[in-house]
Amino acid sequence: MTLKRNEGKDVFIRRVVAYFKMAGVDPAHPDRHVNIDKLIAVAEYIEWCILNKQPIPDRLTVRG
Amino acid sequence: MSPKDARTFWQNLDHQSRNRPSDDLQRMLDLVWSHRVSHKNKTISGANADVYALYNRIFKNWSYTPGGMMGFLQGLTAIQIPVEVQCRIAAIPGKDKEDELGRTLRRYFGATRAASGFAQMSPGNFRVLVQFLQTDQNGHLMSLLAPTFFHYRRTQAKSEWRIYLHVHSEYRPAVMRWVLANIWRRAGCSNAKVGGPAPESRADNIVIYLDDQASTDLALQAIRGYQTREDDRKQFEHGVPRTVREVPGLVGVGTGAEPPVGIERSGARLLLRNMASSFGSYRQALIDRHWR
Repeated sequence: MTLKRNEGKDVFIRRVVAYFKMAGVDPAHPDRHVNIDKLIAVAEYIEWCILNKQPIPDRLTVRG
Repeated sequence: MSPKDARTFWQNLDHQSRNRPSDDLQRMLDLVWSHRVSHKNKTISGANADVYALYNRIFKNWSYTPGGMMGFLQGLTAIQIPVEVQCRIAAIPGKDKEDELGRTLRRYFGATRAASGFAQMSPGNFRVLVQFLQTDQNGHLMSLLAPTFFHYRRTQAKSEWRIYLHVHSEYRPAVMRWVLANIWRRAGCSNAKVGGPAPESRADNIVIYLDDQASTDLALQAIRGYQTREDDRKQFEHGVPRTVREVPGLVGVGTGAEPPVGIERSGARLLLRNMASSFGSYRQALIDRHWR
């Protein structure tokens, strides 16, 4: 019963951790975000993915 | 940075970052997971879990009384700085949207719209409001004021750092006056807000907005000095919002850095926008996204 209730929990935690990282918050230190330069670098990478028709990690979109 | 450098950065970031959440975040996610099951009808849905309430440790304040709220507001009347009451007020009545609290403060208590969009009141007008509440038998206006925040804005600077204080309700005006006299006036502090003894208690009833880590460290040093006296230390309650870093050696004091961008929902997507954001709402949106 407990196992069934927790089915999907690992996926939930993995996905939230991925969202935190993609949004510039280190899940290991959720009290702070990465600095703006790093966030811009992430945005530039995603932009590069778009320009080069590469898959964007998940579906998080970054705009200026 | 070239796209190639950006890609290298991304790969390094992914490689360097830990894939495990912090213990605090893990505990919060455990709670969100268990709260997704409704105790009423046993349905399983992300909407059952109030992520923001879990973040802020919100609980029912059984000791809430209008009298307690009145004492809190009277304590704030001693502050000779214009106050911004957190609500929606119209700059042009009939054209802009406003809520009931904003409309009441604008019509009867001389409130105007601040740059933040909140209702700004002079210390004199705020005193008139509190005097009115003492004689108001209805209690409706008090119920509108109870859950809101009272901001003392120094500058319009976009501050990324926050200090969260968890203070007993009866001591909040006194601690707020100390914050305004000892931290707010220094360079690096743009705003400080305080919440009253609302029907729902939360772990961040005073929040100080600071520019950078250096000004945050200076403010923490001042708070450490304040809490050295046992009587002053007792004014604080244990616990800070989840995912906020609790400052070791202090009671009910935490720090957090707000993201330099905001998150906006657009259908199934989350967009990062160049706008102000809230520490708790930002994290809430990221957790809530799983369910959508």
